[in-house]
Amino acid sequence: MYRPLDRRTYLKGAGVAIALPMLEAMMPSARAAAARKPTKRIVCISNNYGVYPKAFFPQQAGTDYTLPETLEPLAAHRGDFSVFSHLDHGIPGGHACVPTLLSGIRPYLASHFPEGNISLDQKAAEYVGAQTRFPAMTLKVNDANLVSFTRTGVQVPAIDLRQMYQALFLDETAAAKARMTERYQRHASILDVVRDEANSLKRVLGPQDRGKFDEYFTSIRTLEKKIIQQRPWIDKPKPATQLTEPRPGRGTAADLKTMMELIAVAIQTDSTRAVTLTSGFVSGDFGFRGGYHGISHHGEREYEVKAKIAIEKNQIAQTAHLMDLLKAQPDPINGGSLFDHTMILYGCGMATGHHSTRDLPLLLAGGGFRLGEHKVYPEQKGQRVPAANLLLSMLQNFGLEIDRFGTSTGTLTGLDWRRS
Amino acid sequence: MRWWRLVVLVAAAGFSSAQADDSLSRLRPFLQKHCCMCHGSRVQKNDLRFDTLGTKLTDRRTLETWQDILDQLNLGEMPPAKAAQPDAGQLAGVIDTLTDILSKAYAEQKSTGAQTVIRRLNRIELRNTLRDLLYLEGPVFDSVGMAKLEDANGNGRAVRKSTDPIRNFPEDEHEQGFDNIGQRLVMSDFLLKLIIAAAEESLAIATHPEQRPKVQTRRFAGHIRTQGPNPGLESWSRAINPDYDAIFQRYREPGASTGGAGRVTANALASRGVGVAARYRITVEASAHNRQHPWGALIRIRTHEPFLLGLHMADARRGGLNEGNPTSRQLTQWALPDDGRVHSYTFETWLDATWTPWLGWENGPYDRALRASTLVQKYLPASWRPKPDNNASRKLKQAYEPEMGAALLKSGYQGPHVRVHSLTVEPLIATWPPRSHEFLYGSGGETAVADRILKFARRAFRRPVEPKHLARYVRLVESQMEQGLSRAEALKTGYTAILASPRFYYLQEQPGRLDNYEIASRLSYFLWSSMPDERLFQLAAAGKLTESAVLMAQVDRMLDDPKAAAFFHRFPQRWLRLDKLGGMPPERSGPFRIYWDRQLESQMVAQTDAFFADLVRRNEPVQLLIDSDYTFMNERVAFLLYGRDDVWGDAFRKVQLNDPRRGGLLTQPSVMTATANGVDTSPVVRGVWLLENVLGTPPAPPPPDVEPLAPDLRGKQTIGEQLRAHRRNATCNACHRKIDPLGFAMENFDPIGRWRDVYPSTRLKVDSAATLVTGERIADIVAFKKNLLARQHQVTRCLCEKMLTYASGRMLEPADRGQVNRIVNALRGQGNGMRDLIRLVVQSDVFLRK
Repeated sequence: MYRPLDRRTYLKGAGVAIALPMLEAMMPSARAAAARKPTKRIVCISNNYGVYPKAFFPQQAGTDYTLPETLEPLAAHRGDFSVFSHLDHGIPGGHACVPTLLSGIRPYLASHFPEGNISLDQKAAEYVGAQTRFPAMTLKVNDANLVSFTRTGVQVPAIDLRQMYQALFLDETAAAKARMTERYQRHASILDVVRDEANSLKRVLGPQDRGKFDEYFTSIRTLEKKIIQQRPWIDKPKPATQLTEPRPGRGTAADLKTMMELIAVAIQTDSTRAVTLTSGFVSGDFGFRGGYHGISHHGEREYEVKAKIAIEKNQIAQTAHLMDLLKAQPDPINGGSLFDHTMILYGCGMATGHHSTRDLPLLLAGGGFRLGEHKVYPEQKGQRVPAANLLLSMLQNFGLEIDRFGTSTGTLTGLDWRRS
Repeated sequence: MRWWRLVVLVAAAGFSSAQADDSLSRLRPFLQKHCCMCHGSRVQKNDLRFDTLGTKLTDRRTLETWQDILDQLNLGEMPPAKAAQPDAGQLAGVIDTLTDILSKAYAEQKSTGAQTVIRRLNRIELRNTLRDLLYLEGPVFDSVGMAKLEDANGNGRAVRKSTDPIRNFPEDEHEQGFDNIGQRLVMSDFLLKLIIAAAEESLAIATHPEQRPKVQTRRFAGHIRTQGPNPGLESWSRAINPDYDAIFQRYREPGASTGGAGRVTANALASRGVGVAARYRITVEASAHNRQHPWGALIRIRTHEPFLLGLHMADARRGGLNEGNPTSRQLTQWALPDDGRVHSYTFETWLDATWTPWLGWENGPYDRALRASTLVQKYLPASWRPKPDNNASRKLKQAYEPEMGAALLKSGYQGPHVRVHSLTVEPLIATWPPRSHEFLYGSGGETAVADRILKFARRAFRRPVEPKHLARYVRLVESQMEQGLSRAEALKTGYTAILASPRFYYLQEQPGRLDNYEIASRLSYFLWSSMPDERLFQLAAAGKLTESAVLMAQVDRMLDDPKAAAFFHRFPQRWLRLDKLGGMPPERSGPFRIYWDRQLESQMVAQTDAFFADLVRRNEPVQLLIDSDYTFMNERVAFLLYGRDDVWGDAFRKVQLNDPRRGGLLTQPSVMTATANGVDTSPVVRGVWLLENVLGTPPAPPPPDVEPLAPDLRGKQTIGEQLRAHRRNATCNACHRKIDPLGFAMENFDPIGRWRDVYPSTRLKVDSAATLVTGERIADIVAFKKNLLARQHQVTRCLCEKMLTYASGRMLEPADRGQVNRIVNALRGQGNGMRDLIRLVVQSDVFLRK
């Protein structure tokens, strides 16, 4: 059952520091066990300013609802996605909640949670470990990506269209590879020495300092592990491609479309299994002028409302494009189509432009979930369902054997998936 | 029985939550009467039972339940509507008491026992420390701030192009704005990786194995420009006057195009920079002409001040002399004697390889009347002919203005102008290799690796080190050499390890009274955001920093040092939450695009820094933060943000205000922009900001599940009217009557801090009148500042707390109250001087103890 009490404690900034656990997901035994399960992927598509709710949420519940304006591009995928009403993270904070989409935890309260405010994609990435070249990819199109966080509360920097292409396809020169190998070796020896030093320093610290200083040890351990994971990839060739390097700056419709195509290729080539993408707006898109933030403060003015719907409708249309691409591609690992094993989440951690964080826009497709409805959860206080339950369901579907994630209280009721 | 009571008493003395127990017990009758019929012994709706609810708030479940009770009362959802309702006054009392008790309990949970927790360097401190440790120079290390990487506002691609070693670092965690709180700052593998990279980059910058660079003195005389500027008097003058480049007008701030007029540079430098990073002596020969002139009716200058020639530098590779280049900065300005004779001026500065100097007339005329034909028509009518009409050939039309210009210049230009006769750029490379290289590798003659490491580690660790503790670094260097690396490369690896080690990256302090070296570091990170210098190390070694007189002399010395710019910038930034600038800036294409076009953000910050630095330098009273009859401005700030056209040039200077509404620091454009969101302003946000950061009485956080106001901008209601409607709700009103009026008083400042009387989009009048929670009615910002001045003691106390926080790297706790009282009282006795406040902070136990 959802206990709204928990988050309020954190809201006030209560200090319940808990030591960071080991990264179980990176342990070899966990990977061996995982090999028996189907390989899944997660793609999260978001914006930074919420949606125009009247054009996003259907009027009727169930399977037989009228597609609202923003969701119209999904008409062909009707049975393959669900949209959820009355799910949210139960926290106020306006723009400050945008980064909470994939955890339910505001960054500044991260230290009160056992895994910090680690986001869905990074949690999945830890599980994937060194199996793919990029444990996760954090992407952006014409806006900042604010949703991806490591367990230490650090925001993962995002890459744009061109950097995405280069990361996927462009091989380093032999000299650069040699430099990277040498660098990894050097850094490994440096880490040995500083761990030694940290141990000697720790002995003279008082108990309070010592607790804080544990973060430094964790940092060394994690960095070492990452170096070990990344080193083999230097010499493995990247997949070949016929795509040419994209030219960004052609407007958000074209840029976002190309980005979706690169995501599809990244999944097809198993370059990564966890993706987040934030899409924005540049003045002139869809014939509207201004900025996304200004438009999102629409105050019900006609021009701004139209612009906002156009922006979000494009995000949905390009999500539909990604679904088309994934449905058309056979899954080389699992059989079936890529879409059958790729979960796609669309949403934002702030519901509307005027800073409401109640009833987040959330839409889920693919990945073997049983979908096709407008699912309406209880609206009343005390019975509300945390959005993190959806995140937990996704992670379990991904293969993680966990029963809690972020502010979840369980998996999302009424959401099931094929287990094989 | 007796011993048992004693135990309780001891516990009560040790934990103030035990006092909370008592107050909570006093709420029991209220719960019994209004809640326990549904949440009591017989019925437990929602599994909640209050008759047995404990009062020990250290228990998390208990605390959560009390919090839920408070939330329900705040929301007015409990007791349910059909039940008997408590009397409003009684309810308010219960809410107040409970809010107070719970916030104390939360504070206690976060308590570090009034101790600074071991703190890592934040990214600015890291960069400054690398600069001072490795003897690095250059504009990247000069700057107190850093380039904004990107914003959350869709303002496009921010590319991390700079050479700043911390350019990839994420923003540091902060607590109430302070980004140097040990307990708050988090360490991560990301950061460790970035530190190693920053160390490697900085060491590479410091390393100079190459031969002394062959760089000649370059002198540009006669025509310093080889081309440009755009057609106009200045380019036509070049055809007629071979011995100098003339400047006829003042250049304007970046973003306002003058086609290059008003400034002079050597094009060879402007395209590529000086070529070698080094210290340079820049010598300029210039003369000033016709300050008193007969053309005053058309050409307006200020005849009461001498002509000012500014020396600037800009990065040729990033923007160069293109107008709008944000790298450009003023180095100095010279007052030219008004005698028409050539005078020589010099200035020494570090220039990075791609940087170029340039000269600009700071206070020349800027008028459309500088058009040659207009001047000729009025003052040389014999040479004048009318402009060819629109049907004339293009050639004829294009020839007209140059012909008029030639007439004007050949007759001997009688208007005010500056002539630049030469520009000399002379490298000052006295010793080679430079100090940075010598520190790392010695100057010729191999010293033992162990000695080099010791020399480096002593400064890097900021305290004495025993050689035996450094064996691990020496071994690392030696093993690298065994693997075939050169000595220099191997040493670099060793230095990188030292810079990644916790003894460098963390400030280490032992509990209790700080020792000399600990004091040296606290001082230097407080006032310089960097490591101690040689003088502080010497005094620490001699054990002198525990002497109060020595300490005070050091505070004065450090505040007078250029490195104190870090304090003048960073403390107001953190205290007043100016770090929020750039987080939600106006949009490039929106109504406040001027913010981008004229790069106002950096200018606003420079204004605040200049104002604050001046207060400290002159030890002026704290009240001037609230109101002053002067401020600091340059041309851009004056013209674009204050609507004044009587301040010319790029340099910030003290300017008398002609408007009582705009004195003080608290309503400066930087603050008003940081408390807006780039789109509109909110009295609530500004009110909360004032309560938190200026009055030191933060309001309780809003109860959960309160939906933000969704303003309807189609209607004819101002934000004020909409908020007033909101306050009709009694529970909202409980807090908002304390918050909103403060914000209303500032409502005349638009989202970039300009004055407005009406809202531009609706043309509705801004109403800044408000009734404070005390019942006092204030008409506008002027009256509000008077009100604040009457409460200046409260403002001073808050400032004192914030400064102690910044200086000690920890949040203050109730136990610190005595220290704060002592400082505030002493300060009042001395006249409330800003520098005195800093001195008192440094002498306090909060600063001198861990």
